[in-house]
Amino acid sequence: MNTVVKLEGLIKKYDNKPVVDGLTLDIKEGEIFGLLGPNGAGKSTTMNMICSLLKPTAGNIELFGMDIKKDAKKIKPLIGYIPQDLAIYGNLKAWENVELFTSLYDVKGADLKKAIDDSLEFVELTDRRNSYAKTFSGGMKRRLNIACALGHKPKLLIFDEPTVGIDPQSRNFILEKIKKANSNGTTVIYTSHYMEEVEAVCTRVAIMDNGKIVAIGTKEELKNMVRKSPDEDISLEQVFLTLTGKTLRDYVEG
Amino acid sequence: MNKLLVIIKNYLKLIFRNKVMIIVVPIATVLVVAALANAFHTLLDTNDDVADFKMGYEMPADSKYAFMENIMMSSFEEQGVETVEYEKADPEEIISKGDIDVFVTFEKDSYHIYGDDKKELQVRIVQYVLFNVDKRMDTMFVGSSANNVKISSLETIKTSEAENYYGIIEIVYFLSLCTVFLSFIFQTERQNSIGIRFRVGNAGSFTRYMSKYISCLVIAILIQVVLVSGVVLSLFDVTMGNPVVFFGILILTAIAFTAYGLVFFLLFNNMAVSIGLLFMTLWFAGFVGGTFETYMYTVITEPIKRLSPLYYVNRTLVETSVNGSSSYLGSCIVVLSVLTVVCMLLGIIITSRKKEV
Repeated sequence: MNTVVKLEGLIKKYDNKPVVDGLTLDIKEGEIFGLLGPNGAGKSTTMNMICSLLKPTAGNIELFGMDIKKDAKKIKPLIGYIPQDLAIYGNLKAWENVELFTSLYDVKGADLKKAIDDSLEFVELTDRRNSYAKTFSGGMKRRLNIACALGHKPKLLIFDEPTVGIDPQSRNFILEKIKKANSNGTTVIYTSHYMEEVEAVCTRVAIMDNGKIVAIGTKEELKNMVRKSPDEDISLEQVFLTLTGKTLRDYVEG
Repeated sequence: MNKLLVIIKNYLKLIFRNKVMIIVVPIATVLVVAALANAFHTLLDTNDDVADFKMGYEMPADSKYAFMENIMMSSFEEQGVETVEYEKADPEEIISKGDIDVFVTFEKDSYHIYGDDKKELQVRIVQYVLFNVDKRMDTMFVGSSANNVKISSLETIKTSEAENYYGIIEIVYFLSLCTVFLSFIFQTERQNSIGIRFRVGNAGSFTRYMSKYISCLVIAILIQVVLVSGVVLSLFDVTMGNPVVFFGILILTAIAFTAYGLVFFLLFNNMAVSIGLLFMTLWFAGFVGGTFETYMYTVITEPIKRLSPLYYVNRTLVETSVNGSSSYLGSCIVVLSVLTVVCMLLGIIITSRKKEV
């Protein structure tokens, strides 16, 4: 399998204090890769560097075999980013939001129209395409938020806590859609504080703390790291708490 | 290019759907014109009354001004000044009796203006006309003979009516605030982290800047230059003087102040700070540039007035309206062009520097 994301010795410092500290990581094509960690672990900073929103202090990032510093313009159309905030315009209709964000990737004409139709169909908002986003429920806004990142047919989807503040039905819907996108060949990076979500969708998981990866592997491999006996029933949340500790993390991520 | 057009199209939809702003800005402009024109009508009328006064003078035959006596006096009459010629009079005595307001004693190469403290404005009007006479004579006598020169009229000040003055000036002032149309978009983008989506997408800093710039400019021209100007011109007694200069300067003003306002929205992440500072600087520019009190009768000195780009715009448009042309047209175009170039460069630099989240 091809490597989609390759991080080597990635460092990001703020005021000389490392937020991401020598991160090395490979994400293979077709994976749903979960990035977990307590507040301040460095997850969002890592995501932002992968999306070229932040410049690393040191280290290398390769996406699809290309250096992010040299080939950012070629790499960007291959990424779809779904931010934690609802990055949509309430005063634009559903289709207008998708049109606007898809056009950023130079999709135009008939391709743009098809991309709008496909994206809205994927998140099942076709019948509400002419409604203003501000009239949508929280779950529908989340779905539209996802649709806006799909129009240009990215090969890597990055979800930054996409299910915050929505009901269980909408959450299940989004998780199903992530699996569907993955089954169509899209690689997914997924961060969430909800362990059951990560357990439900991710094929491989990395747990970060203090800017470093403290554990990486499949869900079973991680569970085996902390199992005291082979037949012990253990959840991913227990693994997470064992590896990162139970102390409250109140500081804000950089 | 396609992505720029799609972004602009959607920005325009967002602005037009924000009906409050679209309605409030034209109405506010018209209301302010009406209020200021009404409030300052009396002041400008007072100034008109000032022009109706009596001036006495004494002109010896050997004075260099003698040969221009008739032309000079008809100039004074055009200004509403009644002239009375005296021979061997005592100016102070005549003024103290109240027979006349100002007295001018012409001498061989000079003149002496008499007037009491209460007639300061009348003295200034006389001084202004005589200053223009001196200027014209200087021009005439360089390499020329006085006998060969014909003078048909002398330069005089034409005053603008209150409605005409404030009609023009408030169109300009509200036009300088045109970036408020974008405040709603900036607010939405900041609250919802939409900027991140633009930066992750393949939209460079130039595209991101120009999409906002062009959207704002289109709205400013449609709403303020065309609609508001049309309403003000038809509702109030406002004359353009020269329509090409009038609309040309308004469009240049929109181009310059869109770039100027964007700098504030891009420079600060806090909307209150952006809008507060933008309004503060434009209020100052308006204050010294004739927006609230006429630039003709203000106590603000000329060098300070010249700091305000609005002064050049106001003066050009008012003079064009009254006289049909303005000597400030050239400097107005230069000032607006420099403001546009400097602010656009700043805006693009700030946008590109804001890559990091």
